[in-house]
Amino acid sequence: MNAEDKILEQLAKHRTKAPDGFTDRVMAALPDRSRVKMRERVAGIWPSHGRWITPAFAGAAAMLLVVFGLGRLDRPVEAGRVSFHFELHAPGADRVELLGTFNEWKSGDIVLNGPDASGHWTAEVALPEGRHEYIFLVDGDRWITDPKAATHRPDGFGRVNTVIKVYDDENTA
Amino acid sequence: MAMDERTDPELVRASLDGRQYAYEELVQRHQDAVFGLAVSMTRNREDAADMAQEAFIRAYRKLEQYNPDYSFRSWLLRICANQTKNLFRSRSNRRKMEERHMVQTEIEQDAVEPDFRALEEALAKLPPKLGVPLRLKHMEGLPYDEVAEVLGIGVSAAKMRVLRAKKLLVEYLEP
Repeated sequence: MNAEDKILEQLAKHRTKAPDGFTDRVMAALPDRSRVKMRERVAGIWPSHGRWITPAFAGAAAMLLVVFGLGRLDRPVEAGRVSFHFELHAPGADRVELLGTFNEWKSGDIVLNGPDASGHWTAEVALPEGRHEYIFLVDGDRWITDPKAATHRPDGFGRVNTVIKVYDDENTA
Repeated sequence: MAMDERTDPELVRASLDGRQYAYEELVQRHQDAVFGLAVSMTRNREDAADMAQEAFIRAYRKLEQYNPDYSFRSWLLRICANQTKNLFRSRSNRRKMEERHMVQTEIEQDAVEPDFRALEEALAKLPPKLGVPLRLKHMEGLPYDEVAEVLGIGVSAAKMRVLRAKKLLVEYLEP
């Protein structure tokens, strides 16, 4: 048996073991199946085979009534997105930005509102479902890890990001 | 029938019927493969655990879309590979913004069985581009067409990368 065959034999036997308790963590983080099914059922209400015209017009008419009849329409959260509340206490700041995986770490993309009377800056952001990392940028030069969140990861640049996992039925930090 | 004897598609069906223990069995069955792929791609056990966990959660949410004519494990691995690529894309943008170099975390050797430490160290030296297809082919036993599909590359590219990875691994491991 040559060296390559020996290595391949070893590879076939070797497993990189998942961390202890991995299965339990996954199972604890799973969304409620009944809620997943409900969403699928709602998605399935939309008719197929060309029978969509009547409900489409009915839906459009209802929407127009809402828009023009009530005079205002709150901007809805897109399907598959979850509204998430970000907050940072920075009473002396002039500007607080939010940078993360959800906005490709773009500076100037999401600027928090504030400060309020108690020095808090806030933003409501519609995030795609899943795992995200973020960090606050204060006054363009101070990187602040969210002190309220529970899960953090070194970002590889000497700072620490906050990790969140968001789904439509829960906001888990 | 004992739980272990059920096929993956049978367990998927049971999971869709609301039996969570069926999905738990699927997680136990495939966690090492998914975690191993994530380790190969991230070279960081913490990120890999996050990516693997996220892959199982995403798979659970998309379980209705799984086609039982295909391998469940390959489907899972593809989900994991895609989201890990997204993580890197995102970090790459961050790196450009900060103009700094990324610090790579070494694989924790405590987590590796002693008999395989040299092999794991050699695997960690391989660039992910070569190490990942090698793992899928020779540790997970996927055929080349599935390796190619999981990674979104051509079959000939998958073969070439595995070949190069094997040569490098021999160099690293030969005394």
